[in-house]
Amino acid sequence: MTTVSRRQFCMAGIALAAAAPLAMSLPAIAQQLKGGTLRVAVLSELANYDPQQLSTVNFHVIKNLYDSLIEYTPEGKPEPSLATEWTIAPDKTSVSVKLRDGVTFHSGTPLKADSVLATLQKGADPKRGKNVFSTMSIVKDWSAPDDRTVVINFKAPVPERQILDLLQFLIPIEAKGIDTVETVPAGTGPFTLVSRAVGQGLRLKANPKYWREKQPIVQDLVFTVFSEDAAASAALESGAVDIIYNGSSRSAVRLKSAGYQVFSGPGKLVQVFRINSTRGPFRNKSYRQAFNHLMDRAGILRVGYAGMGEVVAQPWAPASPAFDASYTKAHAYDLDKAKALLAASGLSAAEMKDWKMLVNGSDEASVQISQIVQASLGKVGIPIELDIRQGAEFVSALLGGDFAAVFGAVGNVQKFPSRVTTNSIYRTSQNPILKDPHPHPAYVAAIAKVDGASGGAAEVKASYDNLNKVLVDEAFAIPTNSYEVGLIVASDKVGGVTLEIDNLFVARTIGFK
Amino acid sequence: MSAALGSALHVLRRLSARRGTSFSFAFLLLVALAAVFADVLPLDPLTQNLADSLMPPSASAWFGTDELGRDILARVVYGARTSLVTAFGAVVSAALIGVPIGLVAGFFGDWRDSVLMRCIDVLLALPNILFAMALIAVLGRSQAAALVAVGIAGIPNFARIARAQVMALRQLDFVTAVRSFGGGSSYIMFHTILPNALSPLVVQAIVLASVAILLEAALAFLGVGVPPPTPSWGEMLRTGKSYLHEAPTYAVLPGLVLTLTILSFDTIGRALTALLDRHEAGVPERRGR
Amino acid sequence: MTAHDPAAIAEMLPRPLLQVRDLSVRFPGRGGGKALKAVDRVSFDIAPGQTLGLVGQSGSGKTTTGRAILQLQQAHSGSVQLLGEELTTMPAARLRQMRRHMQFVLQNPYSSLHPRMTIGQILREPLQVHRSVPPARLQERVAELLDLVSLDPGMMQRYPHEFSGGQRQRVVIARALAVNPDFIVCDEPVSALDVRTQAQIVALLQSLQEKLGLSYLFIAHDLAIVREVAHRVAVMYRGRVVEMGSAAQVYDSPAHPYTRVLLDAVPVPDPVRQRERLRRAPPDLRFLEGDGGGCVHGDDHASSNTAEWHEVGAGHGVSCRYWPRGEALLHEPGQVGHTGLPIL
Repeated sequence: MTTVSRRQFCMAGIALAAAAPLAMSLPAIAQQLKGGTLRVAVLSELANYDPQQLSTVNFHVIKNLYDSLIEYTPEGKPEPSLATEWTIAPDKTSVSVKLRDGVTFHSGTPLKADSVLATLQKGADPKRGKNVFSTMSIVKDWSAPDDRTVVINFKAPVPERQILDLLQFLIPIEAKGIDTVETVPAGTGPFTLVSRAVGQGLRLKANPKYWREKQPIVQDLVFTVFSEDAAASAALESGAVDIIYNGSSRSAVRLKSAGYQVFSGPGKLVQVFRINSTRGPFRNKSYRQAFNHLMDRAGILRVGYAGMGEVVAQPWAPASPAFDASYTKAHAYDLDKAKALLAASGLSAAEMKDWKMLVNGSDEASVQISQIVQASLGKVGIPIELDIRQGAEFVSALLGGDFAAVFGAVGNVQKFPSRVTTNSIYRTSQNPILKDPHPHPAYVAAIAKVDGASGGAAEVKASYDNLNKVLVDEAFAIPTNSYEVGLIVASDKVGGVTLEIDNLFVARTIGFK
Repeated sequence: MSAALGSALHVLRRLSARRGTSFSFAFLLLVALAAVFADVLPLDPLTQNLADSLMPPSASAWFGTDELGRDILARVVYGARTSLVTAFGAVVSAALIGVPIGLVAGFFGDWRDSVLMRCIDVLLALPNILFAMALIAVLGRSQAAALVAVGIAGIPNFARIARAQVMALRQLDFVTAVRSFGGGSSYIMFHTILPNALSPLVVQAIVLASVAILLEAALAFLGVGVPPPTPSWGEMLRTGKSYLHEAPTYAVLPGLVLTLTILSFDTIGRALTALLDRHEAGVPERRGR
Repeated sequence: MTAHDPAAIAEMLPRPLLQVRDLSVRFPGRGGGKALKAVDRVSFDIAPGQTLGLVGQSGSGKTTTGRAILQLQQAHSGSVQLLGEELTTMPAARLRQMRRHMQFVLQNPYSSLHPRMTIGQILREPLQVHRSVPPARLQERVAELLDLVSLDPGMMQRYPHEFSGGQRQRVVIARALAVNPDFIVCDEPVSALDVRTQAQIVALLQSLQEKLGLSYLFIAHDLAIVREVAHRVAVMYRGRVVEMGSAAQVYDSPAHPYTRVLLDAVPVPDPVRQRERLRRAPPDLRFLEGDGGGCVHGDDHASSNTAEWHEVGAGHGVSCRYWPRGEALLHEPGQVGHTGLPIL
């Protein structure tokens, strides 16, 4: 994965979604919803229509213009979508997928195996595969015995969950439109594109030949881009929009108390203070470990995320199998412990403050929580400056590893623990920040141990415990809290909101009461 | 020198006679004193108290607290220092660069005039904010960068006014007299012409100070001003606007101080222009913002 | 008919302080139109300790001539030599040094003093620029200068606006004297003053000339004052000198019709005669064009490459241009000889 972790496509999904505190129960099917025009406020302009370049900026359109082969329920149970059935070979080296009959692309072309093959071809291409490319690494080859069947062969036996993740990730693109998919959507989804005004928004209309019965409910779907969270809130309150998608937690808390419906999906992000352990004082382990105690996690969660989330000291959401609450206690905010570790580092005061904290100036929460850490550092005698950068300038510094320390969220936090390595700071090889060879071999070994733990529950548990221990010991990434992403705030007229495993926006079930 | 001081006092007295300008003077004096003596006041703009964030105005924090629990009044006071230092530095550097450019262009009036004034026109054609942001993108965020960016935006005004003044003055007899007894060009420009062109330039400096404060605040508001945690009015507006629902005073009070400061500079500049208009011709046109 | 030969004249006469030859100044025409010849081939010399009066109506190019001599105005062609040094081609730095030998007294004493400098500062300025006096002696020298123009040295600390026009003009003169010049251009030095003050300033200038051996180029439209101060007089019309001679020659026996018109225009104190004069038809001012073809004597100066200048008496010359149509010289043609330039 080469994109920002926040924008990552969450690929696999193990059963999760336990406690989404604000989530409402799914609407009863019996509930009668009316059609109309659904107006949605979003806070980001979409990048393009390529479903293989999925990131948070186009989370709001992908599930409305396209369908994937299978879907997960919010609880992580696989469901048929464009694939009506899938058969995993007993040796787990191949899967056979049966395609749904009677599905057509927006152009009118029927869905057949050729488009799925073209989609696989694109995903496996290092240039065109984008976010899907790394996931395709397990795939050896593919074939289509007939128009309705696709067989995917793997290089080695693959766990069932990983196969399902791949199917959930595969979004068929029409073969003849695959080269222009960035500018012209070529999917089978419940809505078709009407028009787009760059920087302002997007207008979709219901796909009359959609294969799911009685869906979509609304005839028109209008997205308006707001640059300000407050402006989007005002638009909702004044009735100019019906839904805000992916607004701030703070606004959501306020709007909820004002009587609006708030839905938070199962996908979470964890904010991580990333440390470049190849630079300056951070080469010193004891110095790094002090940062475990320098994070005022409760303050960060409250100021940055309006308290929506949990404080964590490990990159796992509470739902993750590797989650261990004891670490949060043992590595709580404690300036005295931090001072002791700093003293133990043997670094001079001048060496300790010889770095700047990179800050994402485009993200208000990042600016705030960085100032909280800056203040904590000031209290232990490390006065540092913030290096605030905007937009692309920040992203390139973040991904290029051109920083000493920075806050950046990571995804995949409730999935199989080794999935955390999809985030750049946690990569075990070709890590853009820490480079090769990896400066923390204990961590690389711990990840390998988790991946190799195929024995009993005790062995798995031991491998997780080992990973947690290594993470706080090496301290090159200091998680602070989990938080919500893809929040949906809706007016009370709106019903039928469906939560999606990765918090993508699904409009086809939404209607007016 | 004593005569110059006397006439300055005279102008001050005349200005204070108006109610609007005397209020403006008083307010600016208050802001300036606060900025200068911020350190001796019992105010701390940096210490966070996360438990007491976004508090409404109270006896302990007259302007309330911000999202990190910092005292907003303290940040307004220290923000005055940021604003005034940036504005003052920008105006001075704009004058130091713009005035000589205008002097040379107006005095010689030959190819030097054409070349310099075309450069000034180019500078004038660039939108201030955009140019400042581009400059900060290159220089990085710092008070010095903001100062330079705002200062460069002010150069054309000074250059144009200095040029107009020189063109009007260079034909006057006392300038000819100096030239005829052998005064060199730079001697004439800086010793003979400049002292006579000073009043419109001073008015321009005051008007520009308000523009500079506004521009500095705008840059901070756009997130390219002085980096946090250094307090800045524009930065407080930027952050405060997100809390308009929870803590309206967070953005409103710093905004009010900013507005009053700019209005005060403007009022004084306006009154001074009117006063000088009666004394001499050639007062600069006020460029709209 | 011999052509003008400066070398020959130089042998005959003492070396002049100022020598002006064929000085021309042109102003660019508006909108790229034809250039205006503000000063056209003006030549004259001024000897040490002498005054040349330059008269003519407004716009005749008197002031421009003065400014061109002082190099405050770019000359189009011609030469200006002061103390034997050519000024028109002199590098700027050398020219600034040269300026200590030539000074300027401007017409308006109200505008020619810097309003925000004290009298002391104003008088110190040229001394500082030329570093001609050590700083310790500045004060003393300023007092000396004020004394020289009969002003109280105590006024050093005061500003120009505190003084009358006459006092200011004395300051202007004092400033001109500060650097011990040899030559001063006085451009209408008294025309802005009342009559009594005029006489005082004229007397001051004359006494200074005697004391310091100064040469003046005295530019004025007031013929009476010029007769009072000038040793020789040049009459300008449309950028050219049309007549030049000693004050007595020009005033008592004017040779050029324009000079006569100019002298006739001077009001006479007798009201009866003045009224009678006003009743007469105004003189015909439609003079011949200055260029091309034969002159009033039938000479074609352009083809013979000679100056358009005819001597009518010793040191009294007249231009053959700008004569009224058909009018002949007062003098017999035989008396007129082509000479070199009249030298003062």
